[in-house]
Amino acid sequence: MTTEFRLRQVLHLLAPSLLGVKNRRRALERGDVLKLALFTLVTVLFCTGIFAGFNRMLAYIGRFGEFTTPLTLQVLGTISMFLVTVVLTSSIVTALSTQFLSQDLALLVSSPVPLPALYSARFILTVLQSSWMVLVFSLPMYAAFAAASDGPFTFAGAVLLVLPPLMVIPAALGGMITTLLMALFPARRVREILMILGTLFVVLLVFVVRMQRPERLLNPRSIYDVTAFFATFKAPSAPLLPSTWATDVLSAGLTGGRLPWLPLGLLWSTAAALTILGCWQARTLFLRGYSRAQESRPARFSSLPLLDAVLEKLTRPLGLRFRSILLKDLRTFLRDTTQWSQLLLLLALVVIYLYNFSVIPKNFAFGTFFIQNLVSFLNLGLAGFVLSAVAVRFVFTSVSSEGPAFWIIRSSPLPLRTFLWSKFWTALPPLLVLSQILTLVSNRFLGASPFMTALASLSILFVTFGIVGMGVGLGAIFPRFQYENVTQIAGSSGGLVYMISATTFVALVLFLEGVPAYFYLQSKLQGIPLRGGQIGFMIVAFGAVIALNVAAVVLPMRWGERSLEAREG
Amino acid sequence: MIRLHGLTKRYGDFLAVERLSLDVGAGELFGFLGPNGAGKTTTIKMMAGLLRPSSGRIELAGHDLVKEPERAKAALGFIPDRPFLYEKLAAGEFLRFVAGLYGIDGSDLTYRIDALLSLVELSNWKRELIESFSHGMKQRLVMAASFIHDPAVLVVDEPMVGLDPKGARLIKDLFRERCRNGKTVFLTTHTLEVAQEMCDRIGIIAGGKLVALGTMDELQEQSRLDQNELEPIFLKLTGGEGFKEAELQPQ
Repeated sequence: MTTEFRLRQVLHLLAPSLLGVKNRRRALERGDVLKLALFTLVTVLFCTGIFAGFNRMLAYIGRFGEFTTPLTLQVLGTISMFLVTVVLTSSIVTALSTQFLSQDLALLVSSPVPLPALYSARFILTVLQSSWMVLVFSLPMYAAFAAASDGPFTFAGAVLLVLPPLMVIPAALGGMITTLLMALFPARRVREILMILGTLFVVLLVFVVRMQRPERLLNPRSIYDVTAFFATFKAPSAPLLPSTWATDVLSAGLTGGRLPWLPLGLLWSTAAALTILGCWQARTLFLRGYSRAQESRPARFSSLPLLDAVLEKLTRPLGLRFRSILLKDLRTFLRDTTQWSQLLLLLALVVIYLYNFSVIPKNFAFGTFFIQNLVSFLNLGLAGFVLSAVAVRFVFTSVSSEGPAFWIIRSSPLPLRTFLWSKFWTALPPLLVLSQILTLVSNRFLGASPFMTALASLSILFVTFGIVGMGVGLGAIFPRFQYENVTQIAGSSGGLVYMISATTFVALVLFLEGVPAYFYLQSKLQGIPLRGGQIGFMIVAFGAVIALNVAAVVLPMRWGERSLEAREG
Repeated sequence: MIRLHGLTKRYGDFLAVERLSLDVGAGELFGFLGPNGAGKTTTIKMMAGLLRPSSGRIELAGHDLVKEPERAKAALGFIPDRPFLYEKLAAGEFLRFVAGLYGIDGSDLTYRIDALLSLVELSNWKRELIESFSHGMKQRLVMAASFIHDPAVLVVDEPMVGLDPKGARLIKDLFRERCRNGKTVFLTTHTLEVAQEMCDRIGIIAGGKLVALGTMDELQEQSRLDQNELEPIFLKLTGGEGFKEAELQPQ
């Protein structure tokens, strides 16, 4: 009776979110429908791309004979661990919003709703919010595995049985960590701690992937025997980790055999136990944490006169309006401690990125010169992807980060065009520096030829303009001025559209430069000078790259300006 | 100084403001009243350039807000009902930032910022982050920001919300002072005593339409009530009188 009563209460507490989704759909206007259609299209395209990529990878692994099965399981294990880490990280931050900082909590906490019911409703929201994107993008990966497996239906069944507990376990853990921290520390501190914790988790994740040393694949001759081969690919797995249980079930599904009950039982029972434990914890700690979340710290601000003076001096030659926005953005950025953890993550990413190139073997199995320059060329794509990932967090969010204070810009005589271009020129220099470091240092590690180094450096220069232009422009088309932390903006549907568009843009640049790069490598390998026609083709291709980059800057910026102008409120 | 001509705003099928026409002169303190959902905030947001009118025209200091948005906005100071600000900026930095948006710089700016902070009694908070301010302090800071370019027109949405009596008195004095200097103040409020005490003229909007306009005497005449309090006049003109009487009936 009591359980039924609570279940009804939980559903009632979820009603505002469900009704919100329904009403948002009902209130869709023409522009919204267009955005939704665009979002659906790019998501479908991207999912198809993921499916095709994994399909090819599995076909490639299929050629390794006796090594095929262990390698496939290795990839499955890595995906499971990746999913768990991402959901855990995401849920820690999401729980902070859903359980402690949401504005509707004042109403709910002051009502006579039992705490476990409130916790359960918020927990469901935490699970959904922190895992939906992971689910959407993991499904095409699993579909590729299903297509390559002996029993696609058994594998699909295994995925359906494994994914719910695999999402609930890290989300429950994340929620409990947040609740505990909130009960122990003041809210502002917890927010900072969580951001840093989240960042450390992601760094850990990158290291987990790095530990598998995929660069060994480039040089099969260095692997002497089967034992050494398996030692190379030994996963950092543990029998007590949910990701290991998930991999056990999925690998049984791959072969079309019976699904093992023990790991499956462990997954579901752990998910149930953690959910109940979370309810129990909420009963004892939630109110204390929520109360602390209301406490504000009297922030006595000690300014940094030296930094301020330097900033003022450095920006003096710029136009007044541009300088005002630039200084405001810089100050806001530097004072927001949650941004520091993101910078830490960025630094870790760059170090790992460059470290990867330093460990790539110098004597390749397939011909040193060709491979060095081919990797150098493909590195352009990788650097572009890394830049897009950085830009979705720091550039795409730049318009939305005005937050509810955007009325100040709207009601001022500052033209929106000036506002957007200020954002563009503010974001460009740091990204240019980052892109050149990524390209030049990695090319040096690779020992690429001066031509390929120059090509990569020049290309990434243009690509950075495009990535920043698209970031600011699409950020203005998909603004989100109401948010509780900046990561929500990057993780929104607009952020996803930006990521996909930027990745496609980088791929297009690579495609256009592929033929000229091939001509060059062929001529160097064969010792024959480039022909007139080839040089002409190269000029046309580079011209097309420049045109594409100009379009990637100008069009999104213009569309963004129009979209902001048409925005109501 | 403010001219609204046939101003209309539709949200889908819903008509929020219908053919609103109004002139407010220089040196005038104009009160714009109406029940909840009458169209006050929609009108004010259109005047601040936050909402686009479906049809009609807005002129501020002689500039059409749609055709010459930058000139019109340069003449406007806007104070919203909820003061959302850049929480990570200090009060002084925020004012300098707003000044930059209006193209104001130079050696006088620091003096002007200090003077404005002193005017709204926030001098001791110049170097404090806005995130540590109370609602009333933020409201006063927004007010200082709206004065930074000495606008000809000040548009204010619910100025008294969340202010203590001292803050409310300060704001009333500031508005009066501006009007004495030939500037125009256009404000909405639900506090009828404030409107009666401060405003030269009052416009009443109900269901998106202007239902009454004039001085207190003129409104009294329009309502055909023999009372010199604004409340009964307002209730009669907006159709709220019946509600009030019903509410007061003994059960």
